[in-house]
Amino acid sequence: MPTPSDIAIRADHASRTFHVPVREPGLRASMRAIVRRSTREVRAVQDVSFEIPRGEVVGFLGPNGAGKTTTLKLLSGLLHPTGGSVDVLGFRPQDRDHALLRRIALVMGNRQQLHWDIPAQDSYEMLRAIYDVPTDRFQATVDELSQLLRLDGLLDKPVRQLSLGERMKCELAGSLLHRPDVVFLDEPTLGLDVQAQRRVREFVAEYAASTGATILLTSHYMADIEALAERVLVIHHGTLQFDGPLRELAARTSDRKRVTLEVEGGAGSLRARANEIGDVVDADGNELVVEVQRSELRASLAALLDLPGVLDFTVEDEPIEHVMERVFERAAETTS
Amino acid sequence: MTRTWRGFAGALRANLLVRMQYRANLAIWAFTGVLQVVVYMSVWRAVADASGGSASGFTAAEFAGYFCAFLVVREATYSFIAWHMSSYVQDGSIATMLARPQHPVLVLVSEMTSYRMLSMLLIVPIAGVLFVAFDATVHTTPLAVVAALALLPLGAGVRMLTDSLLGLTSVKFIRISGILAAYYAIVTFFSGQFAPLAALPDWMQQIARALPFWWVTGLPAELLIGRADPSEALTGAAVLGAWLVVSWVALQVAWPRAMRIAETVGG
Repeated sequence: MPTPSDIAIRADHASRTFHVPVREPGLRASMRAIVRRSTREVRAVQDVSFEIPRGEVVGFLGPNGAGKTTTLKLLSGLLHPTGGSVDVLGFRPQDRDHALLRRIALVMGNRQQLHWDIPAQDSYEMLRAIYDVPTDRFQATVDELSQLLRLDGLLDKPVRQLSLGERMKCELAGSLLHRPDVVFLDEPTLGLDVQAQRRVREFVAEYAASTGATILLTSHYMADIEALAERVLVIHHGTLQFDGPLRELAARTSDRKRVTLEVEGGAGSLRARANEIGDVVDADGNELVVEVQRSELRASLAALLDLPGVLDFTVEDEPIEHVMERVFERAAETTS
Repeated sequence: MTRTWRGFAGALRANLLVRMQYRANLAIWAFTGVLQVVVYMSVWRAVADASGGSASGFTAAEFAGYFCAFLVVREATYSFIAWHMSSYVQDGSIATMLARPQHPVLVLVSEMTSYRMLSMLLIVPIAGVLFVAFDATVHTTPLAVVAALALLPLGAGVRMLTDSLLGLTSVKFIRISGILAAYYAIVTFFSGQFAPLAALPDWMQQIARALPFWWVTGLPAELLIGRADPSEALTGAAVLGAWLVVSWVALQVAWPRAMRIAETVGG
């Protein structure tokens, strides 16, 4: 059981409500809105509670508009909670105490903190001054991050001339120059190609391992979460739906297993027979992918292996993307 | 050097590097400002000539001297902080600033200062050229010039703080271009940009003295050409000091309130 001083991030019944203007489309509605404005209450985050011990990497999942970014903004002090409280490293983030801001970093994939027109190295110098990083430690950190992220040849080019992937790597390095104890990563791999996503993922894992930083990560790419976080928080419609190990989420939500068969003579001809045993997900070339009920795995597997031409097989859990889709569907049904 | 100043110096350096990337853009901005002043100068010179050699106590040459001095003073105290702050609120980049251990107003001041450091290199020689080209005259003293220069940092401070307060309204209203247009119209009429104070009707003079803008630009310009007595600089310093304190306190009160309602636009 972690003691209070071991807790890096705490949300205690945290809520954030926005009042957004409501107006029907069209000119007439627009004219009406001049004299009579109406607003609607949007509960972006409702009664969310969790604790994250120091050094833990936690995935934060939810569909668009679920409340992930609002929660990160509450935790990094960009928004004030309208209910409950949040605590990061013993500070109230909304006070924006510089002693806290020097120990945290917020990386948003859709925001940039490097100056567009000058080389990243010049922006790094600015960040060194703002975060008051001693010169010798700063240079050592730049060298280390440069090596980990393979930034050779990128730091002296104006940022506007970098590709999206290169820019994101430079942004990440810039956010971590002050070696924050807590890092909020909001979609750090957004829009990156597969190779760049992997590189960023590896880097985050290495950074967490070498510095012991606490990381809260949101991502639409389940590969990010699977690679980095054992524990996940799932939020939907502003309320926390799940807090626990990723494996437990999959086991609790998924009652299916995925069997991949390697067959000779083409998988297409076996599709109809395989569909009688389970649900064919893919039948392309010599690979046949079938999902079956976990409770009937033994019988289903035996039946599948009896199909003609089967050379090899593997059995896996259902992909986490599918699990998540189901979690969100169930949450939506519960809410409605 | 304190942490705050080290941070400010770092931001100023980066902003200088950015501005130096766009020298032509900066020059166009500066020349556009010059053009406005040249138009006012030409109009008032024509008025003086048409009025038998002088208007409101200014000869055509003295009008030219006044507007050349005004050009330099305005550039030294000019602020675009309100525009920039509202654009940062609108596009959500204020979030990046708020997440750093540096007050966003300091970032905006560093942007403003970097612009001013470079634009002054253009404006001072241009004012010199206009001075010669329009056959301007001044009757100043070294003491009056020193008094005028001493008022400039105070005036620049007042403008940056009032601009920051105005920019902060974008947290509530998001788009404030209408508010800003009204604000700059007030600044134009009551700062001495449209005409020297003596050329305005009495009621406008009273309003100008009640607002900070004439003290920021009009008074130093009149000191530079010898129309105002150096002793008036003491009154000017007291008025600007009072505005500085009032706007500083107002910003201290308004900032946390604005941040409480801030919704940091954009994902």
